[in-house]
Amino acid sequence: MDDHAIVTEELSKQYRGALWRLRPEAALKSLSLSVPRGVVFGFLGPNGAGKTTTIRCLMDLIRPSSGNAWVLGAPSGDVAIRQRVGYLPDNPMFSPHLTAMQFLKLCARLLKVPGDQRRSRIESALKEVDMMESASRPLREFSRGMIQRIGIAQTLLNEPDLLILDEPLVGLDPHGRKDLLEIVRRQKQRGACIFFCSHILSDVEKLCDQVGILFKGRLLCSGPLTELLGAKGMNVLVPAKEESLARELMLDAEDSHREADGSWQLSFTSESKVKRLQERSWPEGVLLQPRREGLEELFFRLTKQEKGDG
Amino acid sequence: MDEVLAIAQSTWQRILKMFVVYLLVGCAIIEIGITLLYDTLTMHHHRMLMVDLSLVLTTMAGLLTVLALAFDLPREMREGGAATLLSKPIGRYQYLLGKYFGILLVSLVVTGMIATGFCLVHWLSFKSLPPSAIQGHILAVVQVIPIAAIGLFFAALLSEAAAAIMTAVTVWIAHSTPMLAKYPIVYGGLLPDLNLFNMRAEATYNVAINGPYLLMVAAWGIAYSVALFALTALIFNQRDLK
Repeated sequence: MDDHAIVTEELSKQYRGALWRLRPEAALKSLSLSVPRGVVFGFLGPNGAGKTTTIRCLMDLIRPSSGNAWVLGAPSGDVAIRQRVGYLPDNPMFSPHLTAMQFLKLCARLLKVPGDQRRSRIESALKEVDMMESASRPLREFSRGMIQRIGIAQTLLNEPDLLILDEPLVGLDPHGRKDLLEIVRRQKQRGACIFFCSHILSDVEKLCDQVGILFKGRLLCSGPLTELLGAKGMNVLVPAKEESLARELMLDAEDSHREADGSWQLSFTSESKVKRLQERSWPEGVLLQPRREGLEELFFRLTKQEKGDG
Repeated sequence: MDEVLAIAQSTWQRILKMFVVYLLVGCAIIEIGITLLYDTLTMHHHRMLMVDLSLVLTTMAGLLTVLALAFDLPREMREGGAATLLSKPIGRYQYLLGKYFGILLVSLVVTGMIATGFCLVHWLSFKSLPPSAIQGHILAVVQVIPIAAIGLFFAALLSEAAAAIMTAVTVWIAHSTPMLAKYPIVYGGLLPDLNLFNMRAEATYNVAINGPYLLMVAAWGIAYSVALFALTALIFNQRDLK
């Protein structure tokens, strides 16, 4: 357990509904997950899948109905371990009467950052999120994106071993998004583990070493991206001069698009079609490549499958 | 302890930025001073009116300041600010204790300022300050200790409006305990007996209150607050936070 940043064992959470609702609503169903130290882990799932519930259980903000969770080797209820964790809540809202500097000072004080280091850590965190100029403004004047940046800054104050970010990209403009991805990369280089949920799958795919996909409280898959996104089907690259061949193949292809140079890329995923393609003889210039499944495709395939099963 | 002080300081800053707090203190002191104009109307009993009104206003100001907490804490929990602070290495009871100390400090300052304002106005008007009036005001100020504990109890469990209403109703009932004396479980049991702090009759008619009584009442207020805080922390510890 010590070599893992996060471990959950049969973690379940049922929310008691209103009095007139007889059955409690299950937000998490026996979630068993392990996240090694030092990796960037993307926690994915559609709305209502249980991602935020999992994160709140890890931060001990809500109590699981059953099961256990460990953070950096300690039970999730351990108060002291939070000194090594940075947490950005979903849709953050901080004390509006405080200025950004006052709020970060409060956080640094709660994080037990030594008094002589507080100022430098706060300034460094503000610079990381490009908010140095707004440090003396009250938080009530901040836009959604600015609040998100301050939220990210407060997670960096204690140089955490584990960063838990709940939808960190929400509300950020393209610059903010780029900055955040850079911050995540830097934190990873520092040796921190970053556990975050996001709906922006392209960013997750670029950034993450591992992912977990959650659907209706159940974990559908979890592991290194390289293992999860294995070879699936075949891509056929047809040069521009073979347009009639491209049009013939397009009838069978699952996906097709034209490149800037006029060539065609056609994707085939079914095994029978791939077999037929391999047996066929091809004119010169046509290339056959094993096709790799994208994260988005994996996500939709698994969640669609679950919806169908449901 | 530093964590508790940090939360208390933040709560103190938040409430001190509320304009209504200054308005409350200013209006209360002006109102106490205005009683001097009732000299003829009260047949020269305006000093008694001033003492009585000052004690009522001190109690009301204490309650109103606590109600600010009743709005502040549930809002902080609903908006997720509490979750951010509780994601730091701070226990839930420390967070509650910080909130309690913050609001207690503000309430003590507000009620203390009104009591001091009364002393000043009384001294300037009558060139004397009866001990019973001072004792009465001390108890009115000390009264905010259990009132803040009651406010915290409801604020930790209910929504803003419900917490404010429940706090106000409980304080009102707790001041009516003589009427409830025939219900022994309620009287001096679950509900606090805030009537113990009510020295309006003694202060108005200049009847000295003995020292041990003052100490006993203050000790009871602190003991009740500690017990209620422990119960609040116990329940809050089990609560799911947004």
